[in-house]
Order: sequence, then structure tokens, then C-alpha cells
Amino acid sequence: MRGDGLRGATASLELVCPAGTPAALRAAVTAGADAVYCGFSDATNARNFPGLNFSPDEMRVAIEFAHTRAVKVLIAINTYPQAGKLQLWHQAIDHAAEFGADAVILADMGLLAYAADRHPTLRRHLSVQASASNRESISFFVREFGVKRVVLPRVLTVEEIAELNSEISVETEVFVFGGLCVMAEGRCALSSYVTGQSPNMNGVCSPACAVGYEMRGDEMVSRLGDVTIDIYPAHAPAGYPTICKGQYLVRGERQYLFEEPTSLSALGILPHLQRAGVTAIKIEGRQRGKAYITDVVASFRQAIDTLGHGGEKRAAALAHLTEGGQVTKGAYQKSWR
Amino acid sequence: MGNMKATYLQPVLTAARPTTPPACLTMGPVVFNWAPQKWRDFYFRIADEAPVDMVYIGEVVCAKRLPFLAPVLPDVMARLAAAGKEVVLSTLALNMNRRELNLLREMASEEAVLVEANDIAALSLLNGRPHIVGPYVNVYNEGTLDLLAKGGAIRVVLPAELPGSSIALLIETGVPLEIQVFGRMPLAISARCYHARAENLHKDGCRFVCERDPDGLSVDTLDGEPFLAVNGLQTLSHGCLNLGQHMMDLVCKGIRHFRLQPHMMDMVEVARLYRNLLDGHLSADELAATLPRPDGAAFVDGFYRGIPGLSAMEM
Amino acid sequence: MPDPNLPQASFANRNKTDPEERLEFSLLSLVGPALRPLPLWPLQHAANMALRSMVHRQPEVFARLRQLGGACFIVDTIDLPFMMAIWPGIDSPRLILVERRNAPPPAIATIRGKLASFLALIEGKKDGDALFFSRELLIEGDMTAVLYLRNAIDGAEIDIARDLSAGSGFLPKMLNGIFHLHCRAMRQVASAVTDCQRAFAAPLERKLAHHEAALEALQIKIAKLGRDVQKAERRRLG
Repeated sequence: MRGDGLRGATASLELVCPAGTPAALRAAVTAGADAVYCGFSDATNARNFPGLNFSPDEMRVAIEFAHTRAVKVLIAINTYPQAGKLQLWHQAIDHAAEFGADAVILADMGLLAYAADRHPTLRRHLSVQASASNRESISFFVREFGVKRVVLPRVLTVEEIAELNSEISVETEVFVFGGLCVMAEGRCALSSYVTGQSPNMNGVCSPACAVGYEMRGDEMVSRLGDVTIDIYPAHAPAGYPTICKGQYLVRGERQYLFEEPTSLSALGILPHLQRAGVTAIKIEGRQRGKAYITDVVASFRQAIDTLGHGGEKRAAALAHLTEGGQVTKGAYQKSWR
Repeated sequence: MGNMKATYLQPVLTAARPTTPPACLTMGPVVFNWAPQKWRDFYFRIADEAPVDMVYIGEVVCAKRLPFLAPVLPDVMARLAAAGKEVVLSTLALNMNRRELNLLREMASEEAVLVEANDIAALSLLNGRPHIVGPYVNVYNEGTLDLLAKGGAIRVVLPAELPGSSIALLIETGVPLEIQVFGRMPLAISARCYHARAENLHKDGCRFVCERDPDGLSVDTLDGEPFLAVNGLQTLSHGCLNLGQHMMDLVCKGIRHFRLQPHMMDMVEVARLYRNLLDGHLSADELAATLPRPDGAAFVDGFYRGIPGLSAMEM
Repeated sequence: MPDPNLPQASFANRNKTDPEERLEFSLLSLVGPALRPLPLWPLQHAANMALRSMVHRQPEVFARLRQLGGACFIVDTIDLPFMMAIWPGIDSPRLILVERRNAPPPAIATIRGKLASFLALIEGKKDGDALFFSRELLIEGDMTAVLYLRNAIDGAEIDIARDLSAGSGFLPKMLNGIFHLHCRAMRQVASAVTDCQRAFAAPLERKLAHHEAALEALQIKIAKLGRDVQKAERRRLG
């Protein structure tokens, strides 16, 4: 724990919620979010899905709506700008500053430098896509770019998070629910290996244009580009056709080699995360619908407000929203590795 | 940048850029878990026979393998240096705890050795002194590249997924770049060990099962198509990168460093073939026809062409 | 001949290969004759008006959907005797009910599921991914277009009941009333089918008899309403 005592043991966890549309943002605010994160409808954010995200006008209105209800808006500009196209990313940062966003969530060093230089008073959070998994990396981003909060990659155990928080001076934010990257975030080119588009370059993992489902008899085959990702028996729960949740042949045996179709849920270990010195907890799912946002945000709101009593039961109640109907505590428990 | 060998370059290229140094080959770090003896012998042979100018060594994937390499490391470094190769020490791509950071500090404090930084922690520790930025650091655009150069990077090895169009724009910054042209491509790194998971083991009790697959564990789709290769915490392409067809173009644009990824095969021969290509003694098609392949994998170059990375090279 | 424009593995080969679905379809085919006498035109009319009302109430959603251009989506409500072909991206969005015995128009994608799932999805009461993970929704065809449609709809705040009651005047109100009754009957049929799958024959017959009776009553009601309209027209003209 921290030398100065129990940071986080007294302060409440900040609940950071996703919004892919203005309607989802209103749902998150109504359901009890402390902060909402969202992005512009282009390649500047890591959920660059068709029909999703905010136009500049929608963003301006959304920020006004959230602010009148004392909810913060964090704008994710967390892809890596493509060479020669920096203008689009710079404009996103300028818009965020102009509209009064409470922070920008950035991953690329060049963008961090730009934001620090042009908009020094705009709070900078380090995106999970920057994969800052240790004290030294975090110090670098704090020292060089004045980062105020780091979203930790989903590779650390609760013990490692506690150790880290005792060594750094900035806030940490961790994912507690939703899609689960099993690879270190921002360091994965599996999607572009198969589809030509990746989270880092295009803001998409397994882009919809490459996804196909076909029936083979009564089995459903999920395909990504030319690659078979999984084959589901009739009526069995399915998952996203992401490569890391696929089923493969390894030494002739069928295996979910990387991870089963599953979602992260740390609802049951919120007290541990709080004791580990975490400032904010984050729900994944900007691509998910209002119904998901409302259910998940309300559950976590309640869990934070009554911390330590019956979190596991509520986790089970959210299972219907998860991939394959399963949840895992992921890297938070060491045995996951 | 030290002791580059004088090499013969195609006259046309020399005419195009008469003042630039000739293109050279580098040998990337062995990413697989090879037995220390094999690992040492591999580098000894590279030192003695391979026409490469720079050699990267060090464990980049799993900290648990490091204790096995440590005893033979000094001998390898000495042998390579004696053979006139520039030696670069590569750091781990994913550092998660104090022990790993301490090791990193130790490496960064060796002022006499050039270090390849493979994560931000290493960059942070090397900031302000000459170093190389490895392919595991996200460098996608000129803004970041400029920052790295200001921080002391004398060369940047670009990530595997960068398309040729981006590479061309990054070359214009003038920051020296290095590009992998041969071998399986690193696609992802994780805290979870997939080699252990494949054997129903955990990372902590992994029994070093990754040693069984010197070129990585083949991962096939349920339809039986070869797809990926797993190397402990790392996931690589099954396809073997071969940028032979694009190297002359890259040389013309200004790339001077081409990286070969070691595999359990005759890497001296691989280096000779690429050297012959650079020297104009061999065509790209002849190269592709002669090159050995890990596990008989297909040659791919999709990333470079801005299409799916697994796309096979067009012959 | 399968239509080459349709996504692979569409309806053609379904009945042949999936025993569970064959069961479902044979059950529906039992129910089918009872529904067949119901003409689609009142429903079609109500659907047209509901759609027009949605376009009127949510112009920004349909502005987003313009990106889809002339793309047609087939919404295959597996517990109804008809499918819906929808063109949400054209200037005046269209929805056509297609009887199951007729071939649907060429579509960019087909979304299959139960009526209740679609209604919950459209009204934002259920999450599309969750429905997909649990296999309650099946998607075939162009996923980009489907995601685009889903995200735009989820971004809207749609209330089907409100849109259905949007029309004014005697005939629209009457038709809306019929649609409601029709919908309710459909939902009952749908749940009956599901129940039957769980506990086969005996309850099936009872429930079918019940629903046939309900549907017959509906038919009579519609016929009477139609006569009333004709009478009213004659009175007005005479």
C-alpha cells in the first residue's frame, strides 16, 4: 500500500461508463455514471464501428447534458494516427478542448505532446491502448506529457496493481466489466493480420466488414476474412468473432487457446480494487446498446454504493449480457496467466 | 554509426543516392526458447559466417527464460564483437513487475552497450542517450517518430503491421528506420502464456514447454488451415514474412537496415540470399524459390501492401 | 434456384437440415392455416404509417441511415407467418411484408429471430449483442450494414406504441387497433409455439384450439369493421 496511508479506502470509486451514441450517454448518466467516455465518429477512437459515436455537434450537446447533471465526459482519442493524417486527430483534440470535455484519453506519444502543448489545461488520461503496465512506463508519460490518470492494461493482478499504486503519483483506472482483451492492449496486430484493419491503426478489432456467419448444417460458423474463428453447435452461446476468443486446432486438438468466449467481470472484487488504490473503474462497451448500459451501470452504481456486500450475486445477474454467457476475473487473478 | 562493411550496391542505386551508406542486414533477437547451447552455437555461427552487420541478442518474450541465457550471454557478445558485428541488447517487450524493471535498469545502465528498447519503460530509462527503438513500441506516425529521435533514438524498427504507404512517409522524417524482411512476424504479447495453456498448465508452473517448438507452436483453424504460431506469451504469424520483392524500392526510398528474424534453419544461408538480393546478384523470385521456410509456411507480405497481413506474396 | 444476391445459407436449406427448426416450422405450419385467411394489407398499412411516424419523429436517425442507400434488410420473424423487407436508407423508407410462401427481395442481410426479440431490440429494451450471444438473433450477410442499422436504431428512442397511434382519422385508428390485436395474437401464437416445443402434443392442441378461436374472432371482427366502413361510405355518399 501507499506510504501515506490508504488512498482510495476513504474516497468512493469513480464509475466511468461507455457511450457509443447520444442515447447511450443519456442512459449512462441516468443510470448513475460519474463519468462517461465517448469518441468522435471517425478513426480517432478505438471503437470506430459503423453508425456509432458522436459528430462534433452531438458531442457538444452531450457534454452540456452531462455537465448539467454533474457527470464528466472523457473523450477517447486513443488510436495511433496514421502517418500523414495527423490533422484529423489534432482536430479531435481541439474539439474536445473547445467543447469543455473533462479529459481526453490518448495513447499516441505524438498526440500527447500535441495536447500538452496546445491545450495545457485540458486533462490528459493515458489510454489502455498505450499499454503502460509498470511504474517506469507510467513515470515516462507523467514526466513527458503531464498525464493525470492512467488506464491500466488488463495484464496485471490485483496485487500488482496495489504495488504499482504504491509507487506512482497519478490516478489509476481499471476495467471491471465487458469485453476482455487477452493480449496486452495496443500491442496486438491479430486483427490486421486477418482483415487489414487493427485497433491501433483503424480503431477496430475484427471489423464488421470482415465478419461473416454461415450455417453448415445445424452448426454456425463464424468467419473473419478467410479465417474460421469458431464453429458453434445449434443454440450454443456465441461470441464476437475476435481472433483471441476463437477455437483452434493445436497439436490436433480443438482448443480455445487464447481465451474462451467470455467477458470480464470484476464486480465481485471491487473492494479489493479499492484497497489496491484504484481511483476509477471502467465499463467496456461503447459498441453495446442502451439496454446493456442501463443494466451494467446501475449494477455497478449499486455495488459501489454498498461496497463489499453481495457483489458476486449481482455479477451473476449480468451474465446474460456477456459473451458466451460467461464471465472471468481475467488477469486480476494470477491463475489466469 | 560504426563499422559498416563496404558492400557492393547496384550501380543504379549508387547513382541515385551516391552519398548514402549501403544497405545492410541485421539479425533480430531469437524470440523462441532455444536451449542455451543451441542459442550460443547459433550466434557463434552468425558471428563467424553470416553477412550481417548488426546482431540483436537478449530475451524479448519471457523473463523466465532469462536465467538460462545469462551464463552464455557474455561469450556470445564477445564472439560477435570480435567478428566485427555491432551488438545490440534487446529488452523484454512486456515488463510487469519490479524484478523485470530492475533488470531493465541494469541493461540501461550499461553505457558501453547499445540497447533496443521494446517497451515504454525501456524508452524512459534510455531517454537522452543513444538507443534503438524496437518493433514492439508503437510507432505509427511522424509526430511520435520525431519525439523518439529527440529522446535519443538513433534508429527505429517499425512495427510489423505498418503499410508501405506509412513507411514511405516516415522515411521522409529522416530518422533512420529498420524493417523486418524475413521470418514470422510478432503480432501480439500477453501476460498469459499460451504454450502453458495449450498443455493445461499455468505460467508459474509452465515446465518450459515452449522449448519444444523452436519456431513456435503451430495454431491451425478448425478447417485445418495453418494460421498462427504461439511462442509462450507471444503470438506470431504462421506465415513467414518475405519482403524480397519490395526491398529494392525501400532501398531507393532510403531504408538502410533490413532485419532477419532467426528461425531454426540455416540462417547463414538466409542472410547470404538476402545479401545477394541487395547486391543485385539474385532476383526476388529467385530468392523466394530458394529461401527455406519455418514449418513450410507460406511467404506473406500483406501488411506491407496494406491488405491483410496473412496475404500471400504474389509471385 | 437460390437467389445469388441473397447471403449464403438463407432460408432455402434451413428446413432440410435443422431438425429443431423443422419442428418449429412444422408447428408453425399447423398454426399457419389459421392465420392465412388474415389479409396482410391492414397490417401493411399500419406498418407504413408507423414507419412514417418514426421518420417524422426521428429525422436524425433516418438521416444517419441514409448512408445505407438502397440496401434492403430482411427481418425474418420466425414466429410470424410473414417476413419484413425494409429499406431504411432511401428517401422515403419502405417496409414490405412478405408472405413466407413468396421469395423475399434481394437483401444485403437477413436478421432472424422472434418478434419479441425484435420489438425489444428496436425499443432499446434489449441489447443486440446479448441477443446475438444467446443465439436469439441470427445474422447472415453484410455485418457492416447490420451493425450500422443496429447502432442507428439503438441511438434513437423509439416507442412503437406511440408510433402506431400516430395516425389520425377513423380508418387509421381502426387499422392501428387491428394491428395491436393482430400483434397480440401473434405474440400469443409465438409463445404458444415456444411452449409447445417444451411440452409437446396435448397442451399444443389445447393452445392451438384456443388461438384458432381467438383468431377466428379477430377475423369476424375485421370483417365486421370492413362492412362498417363500407356502410359508412355508402351512407356518406348516399
